[in-house]
Amino acid sequence: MKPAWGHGVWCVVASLLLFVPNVAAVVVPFEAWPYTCAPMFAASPVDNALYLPTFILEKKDGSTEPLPTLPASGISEWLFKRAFLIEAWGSDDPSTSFGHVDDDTAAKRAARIERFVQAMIRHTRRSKRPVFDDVVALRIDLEQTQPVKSKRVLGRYVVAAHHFETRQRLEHQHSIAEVP
Amino acid sequence: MSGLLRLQRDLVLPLLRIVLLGWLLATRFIGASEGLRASLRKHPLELLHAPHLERTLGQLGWWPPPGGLVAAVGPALLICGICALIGLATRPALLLTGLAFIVINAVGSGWGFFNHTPALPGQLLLALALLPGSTGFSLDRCLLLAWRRRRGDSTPWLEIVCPPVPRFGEIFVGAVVGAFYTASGLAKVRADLLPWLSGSTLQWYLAGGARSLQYWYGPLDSDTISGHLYMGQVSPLGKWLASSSAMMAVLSWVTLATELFAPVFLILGRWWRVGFVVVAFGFHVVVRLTLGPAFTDWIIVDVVLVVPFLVSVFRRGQRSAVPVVESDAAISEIRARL
Repeated sequence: MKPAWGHGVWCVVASLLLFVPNVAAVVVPFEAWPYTCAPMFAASPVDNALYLPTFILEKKDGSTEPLPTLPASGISEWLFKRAFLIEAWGSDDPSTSFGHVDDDTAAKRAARIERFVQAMIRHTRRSKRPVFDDVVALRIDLEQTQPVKSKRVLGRYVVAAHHFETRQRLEHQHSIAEVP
Repeated sequence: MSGLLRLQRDLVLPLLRIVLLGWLLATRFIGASEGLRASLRKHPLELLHAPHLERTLGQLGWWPPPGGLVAAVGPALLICGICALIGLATRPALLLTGLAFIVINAVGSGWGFFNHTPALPGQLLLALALLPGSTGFSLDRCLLLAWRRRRGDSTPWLEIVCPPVPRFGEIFVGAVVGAFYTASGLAKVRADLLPWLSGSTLQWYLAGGARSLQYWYGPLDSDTISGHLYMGQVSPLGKWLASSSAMMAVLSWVTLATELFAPVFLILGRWWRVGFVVVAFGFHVVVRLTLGPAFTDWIIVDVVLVVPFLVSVFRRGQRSAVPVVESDAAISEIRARL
């Protein structure tokens, strides 16, 4: 009894559709659902630092407040932070699957962030959530929580101009309160 | 290569089809389609504006679907999944179910949360739709048997309901499962080899270092960011294990060896496969009790890979998992002589 030729063809199709992309995802590495390089619990910041990003709305009346999350804005806080890192900010580690961009520049990063924040603002407006109605800018703060506490501003997205401006250090930004 | 195409009657693929779909329909699929419909009704834009989904589906031009279609999505997926399980129009049903499963789960991935547990069954549904052998013990084949019998065909029932197919299908499923484990092992080697070998990475997670999904990590005092964390829960068992560096080193080595060599164990032979499944089962139990993620779908797939073999060993007291095709051929030859 010999195998039918049709069997062989489908075996090749299955290999091209599943096995080859799986191997590619491991080798490159990348993650594109359902192909994965399975990076869970692989890295630890043993000698590094942990950072907590926060998104702050700067209002027209000069006040500030954190970006509202579910259900007020329709945005999940932790998913938003992950999506922002992968889709917009980008990882600086070329060996990671967390959205590293080869030959990245500050201009490319700013363009990605502008696209990302514009999509978020569109989302809140389409869902009739008045999150950005009286907002001048969205500020992105980065707090280092260990080993030493510190805080800095990553940048500021100006809503009217659709423009993201990068800022360097907290100490240069007098408008931001010092972390106690 | 000829070994891959050698014919055998294997129960792994039919069993995988039935068990995996039964599990997915009960836990993820109904839940997912219910969740999909509920979300679309209450907060439609939450689903529709996931960054990946907006980019990919928006380009296709058919999203968002009209309201009537939305109401039909859940029941249609359910019927499709049941057809795939019982084996009515088996391959098209498997293909549609697999694609729908992948699209639904891609929403979460679009938000930056790649759920690794359903990624394996998602791929296996597509594999089952293509590989020879997955239509065994399907309603399609039972109907074919009834039709053949009415026409006076006396072919043995098993030849029609579960005919011999190339071994490739069974080996391929083992290779895909193995690829997931190897990917996880290589990710550890690539990201943090020396800390992994010393046990300090595992120790950091078990001691509750990654206590929130909101954290990013990167070099000290720098604007560069390396990635985001997968949260590990803090359990008393995990903390107790983390208190011993020697224990951490041993567990790390076992983890790396299990993950890196998974495809070898899965393909090498059936007893090797049984050995791997036993170790992997223990590994998943420890992960569940310490770090949190259950990976139940993976455990089910692992167990299905060895159940037909173990049952045949138990029943016949021999190490052959499948009726050898050569004996079928010999029987046919004897029949022909008679």
